[in-house]
Amino acid sequence: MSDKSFKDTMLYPILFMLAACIVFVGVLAIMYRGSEAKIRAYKQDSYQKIVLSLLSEPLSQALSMKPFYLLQDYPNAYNTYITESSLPGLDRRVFYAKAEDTILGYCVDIGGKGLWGTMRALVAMSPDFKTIKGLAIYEQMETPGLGARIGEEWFLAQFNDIQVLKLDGNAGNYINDFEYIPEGQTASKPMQIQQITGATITSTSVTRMLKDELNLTYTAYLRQVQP
Amino acid sequence: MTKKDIFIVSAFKENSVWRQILGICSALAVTNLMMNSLIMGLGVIFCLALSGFTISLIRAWIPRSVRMMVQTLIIAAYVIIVDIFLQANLPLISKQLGPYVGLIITNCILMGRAEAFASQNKPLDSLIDGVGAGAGYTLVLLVISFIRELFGFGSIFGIKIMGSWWTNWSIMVMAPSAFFILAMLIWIINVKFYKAKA
Repeated sequence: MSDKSFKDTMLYPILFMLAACIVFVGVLAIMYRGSEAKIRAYKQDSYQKIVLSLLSEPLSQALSMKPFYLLQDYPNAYNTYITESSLPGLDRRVFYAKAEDTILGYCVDIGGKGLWGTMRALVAMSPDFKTIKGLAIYEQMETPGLGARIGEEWFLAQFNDIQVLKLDGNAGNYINDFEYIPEGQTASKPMQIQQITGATITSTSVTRMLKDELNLTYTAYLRQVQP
Repeated sequence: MTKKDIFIVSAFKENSVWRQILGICSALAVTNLMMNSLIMGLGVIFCLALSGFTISLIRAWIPRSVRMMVQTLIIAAYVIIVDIFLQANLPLISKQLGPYVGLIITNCILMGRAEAFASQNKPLDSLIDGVGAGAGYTLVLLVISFIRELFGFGSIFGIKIMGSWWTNWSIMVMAPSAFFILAMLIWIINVKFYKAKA
């Protein structure tokens, strides 16, 4: 009887809710702490693997071994040849690959706006920042089957070995404009990229991101070489 | 009602999607790929069954005035468990499903079953009801995603079915196709099983 009357008081729901919160949040906190290290390790691993694979081409040439074996050797290969650094005044993660005291290429973490949300990518550059050596988009929220196809191999491969630096570039305007052609058509000029059918906004978002971010990067690079 | 009846009623006869039109939002959002639908379905089954069980277990002590808060708290706790599990063990799928796992919390099927069943029935019955409702939901998801993935990507569970002659239908990849397919599915089922009996 006394139990029933306590349940009718105003205090009971408050105490019940409090106890329920403590129990459930407690369980979740323990679970989260238990998996946190694993989640973070996975994220770091997959990120570093992308950096390594983007820089694997110049690395494997310098070391005269196949890119496949280089990637197999993760995390050893990453720790030996890749170093995280920065460029003056550039608020982006920058990595470089170095073997036998020569810098073989850079990799910059860039970001931009897509159709549905932000996208983040890693772009590998030649040591003089003139040429794109590889592109990987590691975070995007584009429409599956349409915009999300920017993650497909053929689309990204188009950017390989494109010389993006203008010959007559001036402050803040160093990068050439990309030009879009319909999907399936063969590029006849150096800066032409096949657009994804049905994903015009996403396609242009990628090139806009590249242009803006590489401009910033090159500006920062110039600051480093001509302080 | 026997345990088997509970399952059959909640999975088929009173199916949350085609009978009660609940959980439509996620049925549209994650059904472009079969694998996503399957994982989403399994997540919902897990959350439905265990939240139903837990709510039923403490139903005598839950104060009437705050019962919805308690139900939401319990549902959210199980959803976060699924989310953490996927992030830690199936990171690729977790990335693909993105925010949709978290959105299970606001899936109306969960609140619906908590209110309509778990808060008035025994724990084990509630567990079975949860599995049943979840299985019914998963079934709908898989049917829709089968059609969408086959026509939109030319594949089933990521395995290419259609040859190189096949042109993917962009419409199947986008949300509107799920509206059409779901509507037709509900129509067919209604005509075949419910109207006929009436």
